[in-house]
Amino acid sequence: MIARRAAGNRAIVESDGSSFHRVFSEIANTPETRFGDLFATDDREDGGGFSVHAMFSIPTSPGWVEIDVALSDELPGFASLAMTYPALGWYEREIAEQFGIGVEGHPRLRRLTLPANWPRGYYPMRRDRAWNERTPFQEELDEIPALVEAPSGVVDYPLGPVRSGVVESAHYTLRTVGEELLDCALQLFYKHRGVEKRAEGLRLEHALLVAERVSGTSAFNNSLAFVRALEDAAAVEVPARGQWLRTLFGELERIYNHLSAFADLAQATGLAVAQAQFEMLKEKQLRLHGVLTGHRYLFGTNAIGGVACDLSRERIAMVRNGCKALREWLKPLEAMYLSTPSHVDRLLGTGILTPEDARLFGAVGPIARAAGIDRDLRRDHPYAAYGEVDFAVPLETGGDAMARTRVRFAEVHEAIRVVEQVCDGIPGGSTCLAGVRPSPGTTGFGWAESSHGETLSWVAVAANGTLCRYRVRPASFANWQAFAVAVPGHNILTDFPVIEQSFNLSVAEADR
Amino acid sequence: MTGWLLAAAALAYGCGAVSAIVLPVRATRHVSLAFAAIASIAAFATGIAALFGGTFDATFETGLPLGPLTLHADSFGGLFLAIVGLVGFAASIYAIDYLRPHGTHGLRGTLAVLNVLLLSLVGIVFAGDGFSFLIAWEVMAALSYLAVLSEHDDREVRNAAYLMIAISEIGTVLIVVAIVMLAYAGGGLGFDALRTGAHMMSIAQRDWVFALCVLGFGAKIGILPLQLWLPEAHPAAPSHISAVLSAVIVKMGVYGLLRFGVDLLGPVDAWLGLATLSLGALTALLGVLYAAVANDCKRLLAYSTIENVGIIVAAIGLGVMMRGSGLPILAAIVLMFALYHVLGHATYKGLLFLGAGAIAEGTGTRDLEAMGGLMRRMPGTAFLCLIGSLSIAALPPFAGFTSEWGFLETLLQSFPLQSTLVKLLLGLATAVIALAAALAVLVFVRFYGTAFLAMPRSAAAENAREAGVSMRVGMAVLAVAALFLGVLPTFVLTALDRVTAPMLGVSVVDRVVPPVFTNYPGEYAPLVSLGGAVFHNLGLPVKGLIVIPAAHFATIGSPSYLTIALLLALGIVWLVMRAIPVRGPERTAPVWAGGIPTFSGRKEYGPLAYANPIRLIFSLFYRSRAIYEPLDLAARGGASRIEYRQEIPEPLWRPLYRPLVRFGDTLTARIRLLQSGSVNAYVFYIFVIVLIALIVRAL
Amino acid sequence: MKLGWLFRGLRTGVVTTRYPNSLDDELAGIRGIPYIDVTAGHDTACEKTCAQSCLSGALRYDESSRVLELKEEACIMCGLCAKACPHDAVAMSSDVELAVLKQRVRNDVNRLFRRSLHLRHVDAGSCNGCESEIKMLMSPFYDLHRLGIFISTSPRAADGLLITGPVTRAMEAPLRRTYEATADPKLVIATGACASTGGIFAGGSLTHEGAGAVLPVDVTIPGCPPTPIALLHGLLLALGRARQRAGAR
Repeated sequence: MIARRAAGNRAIVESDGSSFHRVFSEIANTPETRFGDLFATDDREDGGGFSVHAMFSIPTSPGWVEIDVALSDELPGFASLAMTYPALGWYEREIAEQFGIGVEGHPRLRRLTLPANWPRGYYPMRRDRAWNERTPFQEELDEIPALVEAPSGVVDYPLGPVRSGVVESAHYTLRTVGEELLDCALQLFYKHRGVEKRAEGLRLEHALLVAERVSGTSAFNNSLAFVRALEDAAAVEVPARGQWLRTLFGELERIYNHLSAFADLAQATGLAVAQAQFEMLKEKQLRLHGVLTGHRYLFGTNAIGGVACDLSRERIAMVRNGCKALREWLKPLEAMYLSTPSHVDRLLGTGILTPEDARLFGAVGPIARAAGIDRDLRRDHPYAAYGEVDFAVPLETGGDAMARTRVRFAEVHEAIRVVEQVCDGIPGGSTCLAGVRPSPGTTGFGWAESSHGETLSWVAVAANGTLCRYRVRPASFANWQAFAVAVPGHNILTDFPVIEQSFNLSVAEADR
Repeated sequence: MTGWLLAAAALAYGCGAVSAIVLPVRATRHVSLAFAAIASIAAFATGIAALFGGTFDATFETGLPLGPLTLHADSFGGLFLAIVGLVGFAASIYAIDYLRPHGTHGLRGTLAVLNVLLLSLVGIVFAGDGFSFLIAWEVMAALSYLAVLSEHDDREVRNAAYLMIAISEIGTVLIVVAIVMLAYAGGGLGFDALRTGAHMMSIAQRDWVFALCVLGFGAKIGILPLQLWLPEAHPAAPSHISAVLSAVIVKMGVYGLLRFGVDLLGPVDAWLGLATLSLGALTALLGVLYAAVANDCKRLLAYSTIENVGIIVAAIGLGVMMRGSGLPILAAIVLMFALYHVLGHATYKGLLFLGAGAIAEGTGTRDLEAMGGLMRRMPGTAFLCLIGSLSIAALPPFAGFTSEWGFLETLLQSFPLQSTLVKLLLGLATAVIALAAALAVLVFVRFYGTAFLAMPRSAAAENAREAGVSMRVGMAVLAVAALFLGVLPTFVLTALDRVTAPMLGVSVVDRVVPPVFTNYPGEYAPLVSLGGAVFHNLGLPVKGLIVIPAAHFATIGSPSYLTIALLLALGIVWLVMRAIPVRGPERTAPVWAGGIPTFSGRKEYGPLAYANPIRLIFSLFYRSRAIYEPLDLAARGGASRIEYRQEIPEPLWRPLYRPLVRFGDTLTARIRLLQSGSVNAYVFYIFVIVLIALIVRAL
Repeated sequence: MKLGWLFRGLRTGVVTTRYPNSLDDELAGIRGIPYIDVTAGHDTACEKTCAQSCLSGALRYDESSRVLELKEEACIMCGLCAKACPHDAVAMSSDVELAVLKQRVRNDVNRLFRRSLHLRHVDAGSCNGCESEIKMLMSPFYDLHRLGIFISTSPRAADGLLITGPVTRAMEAPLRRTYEATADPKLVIATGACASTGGIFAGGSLTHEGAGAVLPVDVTIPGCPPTPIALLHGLLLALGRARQRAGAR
């Protein structure tokens, strides 16, 4: 049974378990459609069963399609789509172990997000489980799951979770035969905190605090997606000045993240002065944020209904001067960075993500744009004030580390341009609507283009006005699956840090 | 004295062979091997006695048409007999425990063959004329074929043994031609006749004889292009035979080359020496490169043998070249170091092959990929193999160092030569030899590291058993010899001078081992006061402990003093560490591997991974291919099954051997047409032959 | 090309902060912990809305003793308490140097590490904000190395641990192994509100209440994330080169 309806900024298609495949394939195979997210909700308290939701972006209005699949509440299950759409592999595994929903036919249904000593049969995202329930520990089995047996002579080189720099915890098993990298197996989710569960039952302001801390370095854009979802559920329009300020801060976040990416990449190749220079530029940006918003990483800047802090005319002039200074600094640095042979040699041809693989594994953001996928939510599904400023979306087709670096440099320049346009053209008025309260029982969907790529957010508001479901799909969750296929190829062991830093993904985002 | 010892040795070997056949099966192993060991001790004593002056001659009238069989024991033969005795002793002791699990099937044959093989080697080194030499040579070839065939149920073993004897026969044909040429010119088969024959030949004819010797004996030594059999046959044989093959029988080829090509033949053109040097250098490089990528421990050692004999043949070539250029002193020094390398290689390669046998038996596999961590489980074998590995890697103060260092030094002494082209080629050869020596270190770091160190990579390695007592004793004997050769080189060089002096006519021991312990006047007088005062006239059989491997005062070194210094340094360090008080309690913690629960052998570099960079760097040379297929596309990212293997074709197989084999096949196919089976055809052939004979007779 | 980078570096000059000797504008505008004015209607009309608005449990009203407690370690400096108070009794200060010495560091340890400390960083589930700030410590603006503090590559070569994140259940065992792999004597420094008390994730089924729930912690450095100045203060406090400024424990 398939029903369609409209809700806020998306069209909803309701289906049951048996037609799910057909509906999904129909939409997925339509040209220009892009898969967004696949997640589950537990609606048993509201009289339903379990539901699975799939989000797609479509080229025509309203821009997004949501498939809602109702499953039974006793033994919920659906047939896996991962064989046809490899990008769905992780989404389905997460649904299976967090909700206890059966997924038949998945090629590799194993523990993904939960730790090794998690008790079997305990599904944390079900509504009858509390956030702070003390679960009994179980004997630790296969903390690092055994891989398929390697051929004789091939070494399974373990890296992590505690590594040698100031990096996030993740475990990689590099299948190598003396320098040549044959394969890379990822073991993420060491940092799984249960963010989505934490936000359940919270007041909306508190849930915003949680949304900001999904990833500290994408705090603004992740929380932007969240508050836009709430605003969609409440069906309100943020005042113009708030929209323009959102654009400004979104681009400021993009700038400092890309500067950080350049510094990390220079560290990986040993170009120490470049690393120091870009770190200095990043620190200057962070101090600017501190002056503008009171927090170096823009925590507490987004509010439900707009932006929490306003910028005076002096502050706007400060931002404008900062842009000019940044541009001056960047010009010679960029020229040298992209031509130093000892650095560039390690980037060219390293970690190639082919356009086909990028499409197959659902890559988003600058790494997808470096692999020939021309997509940017700011341009394709404009939000905040992006529809009113002029900017270009860079595109490269090489897919190697050099292409990703070039894309990031172009994005920094475009971001500076956008910030300047905002400083020049920002309208007056209030920055925030007061008292935005979505009605109980509503759902909302929001999105933003963070520095890592598209981040999507889906919310459901409970009867008492608190949040009853917070779903966040940050960009890195999609991109890590593409990372694993970019590592094999003609890369050697010492290329690995370069590939890792050229992707510059966030583990905290993916693990949540 | 020498004669009595020789007779004792021959008798004991005979008893060993007989007891192997006659006694009840359960007792044969101990009795026969005991006889072999006693005989080897006697042979060793004979060799030492002959080396230090006890010459001996004997003649046996046999009524055979080519003259009596003569025995002639001189210092040169004595040196090689000492090698036979030493390695034979070690192998026999080793075989007591090694053959225990062999069972009784074919045991008698193996033991008898071992005894008679060693006896035939005695015959080779003490043969006094060409005929006896060839008889002993052929007996040795046949017996080594039988020795390799101990596991004749295995088809690969049979093929390897067949290949070995086939190439050996090709070499024998060439040797026979060379000896016949000499005998024809000299009018007899005795060594004196051959010597006069060489003297009377023109230099061009001598060049031919030398070339035939190099190729003919080279087939037995295993140099390019006749090395194909060595990596097949040496691993296929049981380990105590492998040791004898690599350590002794290959050296018989060297003996033959030196006897017929250098001693009896006299000076030849210098360019031939240069060609031999180049051949040896290329052999060495080829051997070490293939050893670097071999995953089977015995195959690795076989390729390493090729490398070392390449060095030996290169040194001989250099000596011949120096002699041909009128520099007998340099020639003598080079040959001294060549002989040193022969000695050293015999001990440490024998040791390593016995060790490889021990680990193959302890783990049940020869694949290095499945080993690891054997140092904990087989400590005695590990320690002995360490000595062997350090020696073969030519690290001071171990055995291989003095000979390789001396050889490289003399290679650099090319300034007296005239031609610039020759000096250029010598420089190139030096570079190749140096590269081979450096890669040898890599090969043995890989061998030792992947077999003994780190953690076991398979259940077989985890449950490895230590080798039996007699096996370790056999290895220890060779280890002691290797240590002696390493730490006391001046003793050895003084003895080797007794071999090179009569061969080349100059005694160089005073130059190479400066007389620091005696009151020798001249340029070393200042050094005497440094060391001589202490040892002055102590009656040691050496003049000093310092080695100068050149005609002129180039570089000096002393492994003996280095050993003393190392021991002192280690001792001081140990004392200092004992003296410093430990602050705080000690704690043992597991290996840090990034926070993962366990670190297993699977996660370490094995031999294939370790050698992969070498394979990549020299990929043009190897013409190797790596086949890598990720299967199972949908579940990529560590979940996929991958297929990976490397193919490294045999050296020279495609350019040289395969065409030759094909040619041989087509040729024999054509010739087989003659074997039509028709009686009429055969009668016709007889008629034709008789006709030709009559015509020739008439002419 | 190499010379280009050299000249670039030379032209940039020295930008390093003079902390701990003096502070310039490193903390301009930064939100610190809240200051609570207890006289402004605290006893009578105060509905304790500030305590109700605190998600991380930093502000708590104890009914029995009728005391409003601010636990600086748990404060994430979100400012909701200041917004919630109807009496304007709560204002956000710019006080960020809040490190707390949890247990007295032995004198001999102090002497050992005073001028040279190597720390191994362990990410036990942070949001990456703390990592970013720690990386900024090594940038030219703060230059951690001039104070003799280094980030070591392996726990074997470390004098202590620098832990971020609330310690997720999956990272508990690797964290313990890292602790065991470090030689004694060692320091443990918990960085950020999450590592100090668990922050807003304290007490979850997937998270612990900070590093202190798993290991013995010597110093906690509150903040969300703690600015580099706060981090420097905390590190110097651990070495006995700075004084604790947070409230009495």
